[in-house]
Amino acid sequence: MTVAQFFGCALIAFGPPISMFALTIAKDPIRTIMLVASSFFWLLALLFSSILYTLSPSYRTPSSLELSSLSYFRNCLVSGLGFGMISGAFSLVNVLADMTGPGTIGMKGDPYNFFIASAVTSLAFIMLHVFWGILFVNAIHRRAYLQLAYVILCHMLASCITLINPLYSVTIPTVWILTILSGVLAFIVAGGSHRTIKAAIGGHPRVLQVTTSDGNTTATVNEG
Amino acid sequence: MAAVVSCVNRLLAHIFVLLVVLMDVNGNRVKHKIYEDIQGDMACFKRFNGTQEIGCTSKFSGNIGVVHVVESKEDLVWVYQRGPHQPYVLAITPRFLTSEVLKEAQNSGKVSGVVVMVEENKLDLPGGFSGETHCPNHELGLYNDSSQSEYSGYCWKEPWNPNGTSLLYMSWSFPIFLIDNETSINNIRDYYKTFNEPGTDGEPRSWPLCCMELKSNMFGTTNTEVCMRRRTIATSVFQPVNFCDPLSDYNIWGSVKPMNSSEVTPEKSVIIVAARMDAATMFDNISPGANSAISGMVTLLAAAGALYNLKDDIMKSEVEKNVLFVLYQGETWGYIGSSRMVWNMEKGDFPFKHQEDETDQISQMNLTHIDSFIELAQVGQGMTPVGSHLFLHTDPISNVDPEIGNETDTLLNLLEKYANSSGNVKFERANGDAPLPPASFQSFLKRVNISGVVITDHRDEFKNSYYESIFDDYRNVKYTSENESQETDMYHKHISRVAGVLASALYTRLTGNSKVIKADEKLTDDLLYCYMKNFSCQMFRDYGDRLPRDLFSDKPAKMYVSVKGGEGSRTTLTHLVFAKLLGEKVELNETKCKTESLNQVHQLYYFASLNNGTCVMSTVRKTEAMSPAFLIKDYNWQSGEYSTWTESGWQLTKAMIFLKPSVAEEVGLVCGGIASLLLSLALVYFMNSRADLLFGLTTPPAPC
Repeated sequence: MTVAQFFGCALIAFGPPISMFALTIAKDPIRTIMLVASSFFWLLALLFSSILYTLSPSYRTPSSLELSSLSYFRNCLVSGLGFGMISGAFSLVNVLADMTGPGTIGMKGDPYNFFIASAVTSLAFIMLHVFWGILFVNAIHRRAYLQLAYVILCHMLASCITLINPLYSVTIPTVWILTILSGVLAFIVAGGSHRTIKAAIGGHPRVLQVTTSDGNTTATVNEG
Repeated sequence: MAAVVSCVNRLLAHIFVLLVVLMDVNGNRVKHKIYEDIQGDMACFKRFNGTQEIGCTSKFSGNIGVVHVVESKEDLVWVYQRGPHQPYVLAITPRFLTSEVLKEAQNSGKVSGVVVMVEENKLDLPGGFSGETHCPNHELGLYNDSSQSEYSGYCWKEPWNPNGTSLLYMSWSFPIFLIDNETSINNIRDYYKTFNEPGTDGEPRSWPLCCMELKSNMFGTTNTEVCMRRRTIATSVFQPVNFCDPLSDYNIWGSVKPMNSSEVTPEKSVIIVAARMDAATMFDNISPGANSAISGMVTLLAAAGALYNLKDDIMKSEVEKNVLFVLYQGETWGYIGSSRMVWNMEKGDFPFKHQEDETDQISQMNLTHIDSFIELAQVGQGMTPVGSHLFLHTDPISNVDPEIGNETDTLLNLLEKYANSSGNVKFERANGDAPLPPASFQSFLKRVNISGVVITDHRDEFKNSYYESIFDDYRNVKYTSENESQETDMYHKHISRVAGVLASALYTRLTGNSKVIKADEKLTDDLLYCYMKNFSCQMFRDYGDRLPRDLFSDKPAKMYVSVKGGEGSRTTLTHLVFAKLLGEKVELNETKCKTESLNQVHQLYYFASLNNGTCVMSTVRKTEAMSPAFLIKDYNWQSGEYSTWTESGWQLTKAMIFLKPSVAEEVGLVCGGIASLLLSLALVYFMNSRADLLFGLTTPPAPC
């Protein structure tokens, strides 16, 4: 019966990362490998959390790969997504597995919305990992220490706030505010602004055409 | 100082490791927060005979329903008329375990399961309740409808068991579980109160509601013929699946004098003293049978023990008589044990086929060797304030023969004589024009005309108002011993008195001399305590010290006959106790105390815990009690000649309780999930396709 809960929660938490994977990553084998590699590093980090900080910069891509700025940020996204998906998987899969039975939670005084809250929190953390990936790599690249500090503090805050669960009315808004904030920052760092959004939505066909063909050519040459 | 620090460090490290281990052990999965296991080992299960199936089964994956505790009739009405959240699982008290309630539940279509909550302390006993029919074992008895006997209609007019509901023989489309565990019952009641109990005006509660899952899927179906056929096909083709197995166990018996095949057993020389040793209920793992089985069985064991104490007199005697004490198995289900013994006797291979080359061999016995038959049926409720009052039933058909009639009369006179001389036992002849009550003796009378008597506590209808039900326990026979051996209990004295009278009468038959024998009260009390209250009592643990510990539970013995490889502990223990009572000590050590063959006249039993190791030589042994129907080639299952009862196989029975969310919530969640996926797909597609517009403009690409 509550297979419905399973699919609902699984889709809520993993729908966005799956879309990102399917549309941006799956078509490129190297990015797929990077995704898996970064997931592996998350696992390593889980095991040797003390080595986390020494290992995390090592997901920098090999220098032989020359990249456009766009694919440079994409690679940050890929690594971040790898981190996010595996952490999301670890935090939610156990709960998901127990959801498939006929029952739901709450009989023994636990909050009824535990399942949906877990799913929403997991989604936030997956997205946070993506954004943190972009911000962190960019910060190191530009030696922007304030940005670096933001990522670390944000991570600490988001993780620690979940300790006060099941006060979901506090933790979920906090985590999601951090997610949106980090998302906006990552967007800006990657080169976005309200003007580019307008441009993208409005679509300047002629400029777009020129730039696109330009960009595409560069990319093709580089990758070739 | 440094040493202290390192010491503290080491201590801290140990504590840390310990903490990690502890936390690991207490790891609490979400599953444990969702589900609460409820006692699920006492499920109603399916049985089959040649024409029908009885009992209950759940669906393969289990039956789920909203819990509704039924305390009064109004609660039932509420479920059928107002309850909007069907299907329901009814949690009833024993008072509602009637065929009317269950039939109404089945016909309403709103019930997916029933649990019966039996609370030890506040027993809500119905006035009388028996799972059996009004005429137990009528079809396979002597006076069955096709017997042309003038007594065949007697029971329908004057039922032996007027409290019979036939509940045991009905088939239900939902599982029924019995729960006697206090925690489980409290959980059901508490969760029901918190989540399900309708408001004062009967307003139903809204989701999430507390539900229960009952899992007891039975493999067998239809009837014995069908499932035995499937069984043969399945064993020869696939992995063996036990669709159904014949009810089967062992008859336990032993003679006072050894019967050696080298000596001829005279005709009409063996007095059979019998009792049945099985009882039944609808449910698995509970079949107390205090009056229906244990009363007669313990009387027999006590009488055997008392009689065998005088073995020297008996062996010296010139009288060519012998006594065979027999405990019959599976009598509830159409006289399985007794009909099997008669079948073997007729075929000429009771107890075993004669072996030409063996010298030490038990002699064969057939129906002509039987002198008379004394059966101890239900004797538990024959206790009066001053003593014991029992009734002697005889068969009016065989008594028509003057010779048999005389023999019966002699037997009754003898029993009455010793009853009178004991002072406080009264044996009264039951109505001479009434047939025998349900008894193993009927299996013999179907084939041979012999004299005999059935001793019971009732003249007409059963005194036992809980015949073959979960309530036929120590309370039903007013047994009060709290621990082994207590002087204040009257019940064990009653049983001992009856056993003494029986032993005296048998002594006279065996020796021709008179003697008043008293049965050992301590032994009777120990046995009663072990069977009715605590199967892991000291006596049974001493006798069964070689048996696996898990055979002993501190609950009453389970008296159900079961199937081959099923519940054997009661039979094994009874066999050992019986052997000790009807055996003599021999000086053999543990390694030498072994019997080579079941055919040998004497069997050897070793008891390591009795007097630092005792070897006992006894004539007691067991022979298979499975209905001949399963051994006769191409037996006609519909013929009704022998018992055809089989028991279905099943994987496990399990019950749990949990909360179920509303459908709206579930649909909402799935929709939310799909929305999350679709929205993100659209957004990512948009960002991908317009990536250079979104990001590409400000930062120039890295130079080649």
